[in-house]
Amino acid sequence: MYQHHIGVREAASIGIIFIITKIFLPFQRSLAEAGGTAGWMIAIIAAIFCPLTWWAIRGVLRNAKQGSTLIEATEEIWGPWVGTFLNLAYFCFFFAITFLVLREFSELLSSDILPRTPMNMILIFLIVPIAFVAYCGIESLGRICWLTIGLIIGSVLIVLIGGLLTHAEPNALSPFWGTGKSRIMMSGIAKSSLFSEMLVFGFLLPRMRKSREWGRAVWWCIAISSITLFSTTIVYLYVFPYPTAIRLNVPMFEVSRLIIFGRWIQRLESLFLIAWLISAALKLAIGLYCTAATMSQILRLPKVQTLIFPLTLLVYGFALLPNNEMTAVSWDGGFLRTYGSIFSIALPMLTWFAGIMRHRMRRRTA
Amino acid sequence: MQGWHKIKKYLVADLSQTQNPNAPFALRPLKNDEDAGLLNGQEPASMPQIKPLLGDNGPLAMTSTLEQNINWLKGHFSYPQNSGLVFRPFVIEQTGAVVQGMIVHLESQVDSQHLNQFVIHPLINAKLTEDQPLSVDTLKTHIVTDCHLTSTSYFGEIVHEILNSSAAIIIDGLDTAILADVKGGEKRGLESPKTENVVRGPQVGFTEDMQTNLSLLRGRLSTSDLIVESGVVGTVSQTAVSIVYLKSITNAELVNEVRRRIAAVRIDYIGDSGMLEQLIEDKPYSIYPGMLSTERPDHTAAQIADGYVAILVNNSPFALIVPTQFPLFLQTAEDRYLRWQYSSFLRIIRAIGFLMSLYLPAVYVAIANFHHEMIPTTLVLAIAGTRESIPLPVAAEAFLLESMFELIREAGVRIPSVIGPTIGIVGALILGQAAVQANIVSPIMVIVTAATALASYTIPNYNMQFTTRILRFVYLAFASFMGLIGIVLLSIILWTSWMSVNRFGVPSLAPLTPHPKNENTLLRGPLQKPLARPFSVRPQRSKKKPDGQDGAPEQGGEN
Repeated sequence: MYQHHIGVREAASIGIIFIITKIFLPFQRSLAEAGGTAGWMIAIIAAIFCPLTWWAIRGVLRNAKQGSTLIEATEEIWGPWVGTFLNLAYFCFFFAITFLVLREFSELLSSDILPRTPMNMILIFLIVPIAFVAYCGIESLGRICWLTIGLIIGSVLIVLIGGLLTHAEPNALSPFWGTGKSRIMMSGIAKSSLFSEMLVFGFLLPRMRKSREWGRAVWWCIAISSITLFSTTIVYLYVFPYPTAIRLNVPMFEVSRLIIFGRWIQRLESLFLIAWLISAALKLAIGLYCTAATMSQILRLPKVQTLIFPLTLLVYGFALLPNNEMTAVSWDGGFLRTYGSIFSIALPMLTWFAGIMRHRMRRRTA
Repeated sequence: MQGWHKIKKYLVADLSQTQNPNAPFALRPLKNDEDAGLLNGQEPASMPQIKPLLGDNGPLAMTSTLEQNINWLKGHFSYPQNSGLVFRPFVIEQTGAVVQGMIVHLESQVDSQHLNQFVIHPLINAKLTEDQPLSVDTLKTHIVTDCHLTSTSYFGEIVHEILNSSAAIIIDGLDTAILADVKGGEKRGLESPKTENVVRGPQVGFTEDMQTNLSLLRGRLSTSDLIVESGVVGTVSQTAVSIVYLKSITNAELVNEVRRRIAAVRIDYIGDSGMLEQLIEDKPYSIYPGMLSTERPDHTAAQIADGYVAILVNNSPFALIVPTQFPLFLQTAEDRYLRWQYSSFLRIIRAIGFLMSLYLPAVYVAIANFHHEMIPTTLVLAIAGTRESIPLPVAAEAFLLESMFELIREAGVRIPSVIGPTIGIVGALILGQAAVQANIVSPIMVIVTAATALASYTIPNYNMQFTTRILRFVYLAFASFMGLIGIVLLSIILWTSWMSVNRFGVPSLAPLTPHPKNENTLLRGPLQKPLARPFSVRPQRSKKKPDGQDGAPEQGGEN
C-alpha cells in the first residue's frame, strides 16, 4: 500500500508547535522564578542542550531497520522486554504531557476567558477537536500545523512588539546574572527538558521521503523554537518587573492585555486568544497522537486510530486528577520540566549507545 | 445494530493485515522519465462501453433476411405501441431485379433533410449492373457517398446507434446494417456562460451537445496529444461521457483512476455532470466540493494544459475538472488574461470574501456576546445604543437575518427571471428597513448580513458558495455558545477534515498544505517568469515553456 509522507515544512511545524505552545502557559513565570532577571539565559542554555535529543534520536533510528520509528527501533535494539519497558516510559511521558497541558489550558480558559462556563464543559469542548485531529493522523496534523504556524508565530511577534512598544523597562534585566551564575547554569541544564517534546521527531522522521531532509526539519524546528522561547521570556521580563513577573498566571496573555496602539487597536487578548487556542489544541492533538502511536507500536497494532477513542477517555479522566490549576502547574514543573530530559535525552542516548554496541558485537561474531 | 457497524471502526481495533481495497488513492511523484505513462501497479481501467445484446451463441447478430431483421427491431422497440420509430422501405434497382431495403430511425432525432438528400435519394436512384454485386462496400463507395457511414452485424450496436440519432439501412440479403450519421434534433446555439461571466476573455460557454463542447476544446488545444476517451454511463439513459486530457502531460495514474471511477458507476440515469460528480467523488459525505465544474471552454482547456483531466457529459453544459484543490475554487478564467498584479489583487479579494462569508456573522456574535473588550469603547457604546430597544439576543438576530437572506436568495432564483432581481432587491431593502424600524434587528446586524452576502458572491464557484452558506450557520451556532473559542475549535475540526482528504489522489488544500514549490496559489506571478505546471497533479512534464526559454526546475516539490 502507498505510504503517505510528510515534508520538511510539515515536520518542522509539528515540532515547533509541540515545543512552543508552553509559552502560552506559565512558562516565562517559571523561568523568572528559577533565574530571576536572568531567566532568559535559562532558555538559551536549554536551547544549547537540545540538539542532544536530535542526535540521540538520529543515532537510534540509524541503528535500526530502515523506516522504524523511535519505538520500533528501541524495541529492536533492546529486545522485547527491556525495549517494551523503555517504550512504556515514552508512553507515560507523552500521556503526562497531554493530560497535564489539557488541564492547564482548560483552567486558564475557565479563569480568564469563560469564567461562567463549567470546567468540565471546557475540557469536553477541547478534547473533541483534539481527538478528531489526532484520529486524522500524522499527515493531517502536519498539514494543519503548517497552515497555522504562520498565524501562531505572527501573533506572538505582534504581541511581543506591541508589549515592548507599550511598556518596557530598560533596566528590567538587572542584575544581569539574576539568581546567580551557578544557579542559572544548573537551572539551564535541568530545564533542557523545555525541548523534550522533540521526541516527536522519533515518529516524524521515518515518515519523511528522504533521510537527508531530517536535519533540515529538525534544525528549523530548533532554531524557531529557541528564538520563540528566548524572545518571549526576555520580552516578558522587559515588560513586567521581576516582582510582578513571578506572580502572573498567564504571562503572554497579560502582555497582550497591555497593548495599546492608539484608540482603535488596544487590548488584543481576544485576537491573541485565537492563536493561543489553535496552538494549544494542536499541541494536545500531537501529544494524543504520539501517545496512541507509542501504545499501538508496543502492542503491534496495525493502526493508531483505534486507540484514539479509549486514550481520549483516559486523558479526560487523568486531566481531572489535579485538584486545581496550581496542582497541575506544579506537576508539570516538578515532573515534566524537571525530569523530562531523562526521557528526551538520557533514554535515546542510552539506546543509541546500546545500538552501537550491538552492531560492534555482531560484527565481531560475523 | 446497524449503528454499531458504523461506529465499530472507531472503538474496536482492526487487526487485519490485509490491504484495504478501498484505501484512498494517492498520486505518486514520478521519479524519472521512465515512470511517465506507467501505472505503478494500478489495475489498468477502461471507459465503460455499451454491453452487447446477447443471444444463445454470443452477441445477437443479424440474419440475411430483411423481414426477420425488421421483425426483431419491431419487437425490441415495442413497435407500433412505441410510436417514435420510423420504418421507411425502399428498393434498389439491379438489372433484371429489385432489392428491397428498409431505413429505420427515430422520429425527430434525425435531420430529415439530410436523410432524404444524402441517404434515401441516392438509394432510390441507384441502378446497379449485373456485374456489380450489392454489398456493404458498394453501398458505401458508390451509392451513399455524402454521409458518414459505419456498419455492424450486431443488433446491440444497431439499437444503440438508432437511439443516438443515426439511421440504420437494412437490405435484404445482407447480414450487415449500414449506419448513417444523420443527427438532428434541436440544439442550443453558443451563448455566454450563465454563471462564470468575465470582463476580459472569451464570451462563449459550453452547450448541452457533447460534440460541440469537444470541438470548442479541440479549437483551443490543437495538438495530436489531446486525447478524448468516450464511454457510456447509465443503464437506462446510456449517457455519453468523455474524458479529455493531454497524453504527454497528464499523469497516467490519474487518467486511469478517472477511468476506473467512471467504469465503477452503477446507476440507471445520468442527467447532468452534477450527478456523475457525486458518483465519482472521494467523500460523498464531505460538505466541501470535490471537483470543479465549469461552463467555460477556455478555463477547461487551460486546466487540461496544466495536466488536469476534464470530464464531459452529454446533455450537460458543465465540464468537470479533476483533481480539484481548494485554491482552484477561488480562481477564474479571467485570472490568466489579466496582468499579474490585477489578478493577484482579485484573488486576494476573493480569499477575503471567502473568509468573510464563512466567519463574519459568527465573529460578530462572538465579540458582541463574549468579548466586548475587543471593541473600542466608542463602537461598543454605539452598538449598545442600537441594541437597546432590540428584544432579541444577538445570536437570534443573526440567525433571523441570515435565514431571511437565504429565503430571498432562493426566491430570487425561482421567481421568473423578469421580476427575480427586483424581488431580491425590494425584498432585501424593504425587509431590512422594516425590521430595523420595527426594532426586531439592529442596523449593525443588517450591515453584517449584507457584507456577508456580498462576500459570498465573490466566490466564483457555485458549489463552494453552498459550502460557505451552510457552514456559516454552524459557525453561528458555535459562536453563540462558546464565542471565539467555539469558532476556533470548530474551525480546527472542519479544516482538518477538509485537508485530510485527497481528491483524486491530491490533497484537498494543496498547494497551501502540503506546499510544493513553484505553484501559483493566492498570488500569480508574471508570465515572463519561469512557469511550471502544478506539481500537485504530478504532470509528466513540469515545464510550461519549451527548453531554451525560461525553464522551471523539473519536479520542484518535496512531498
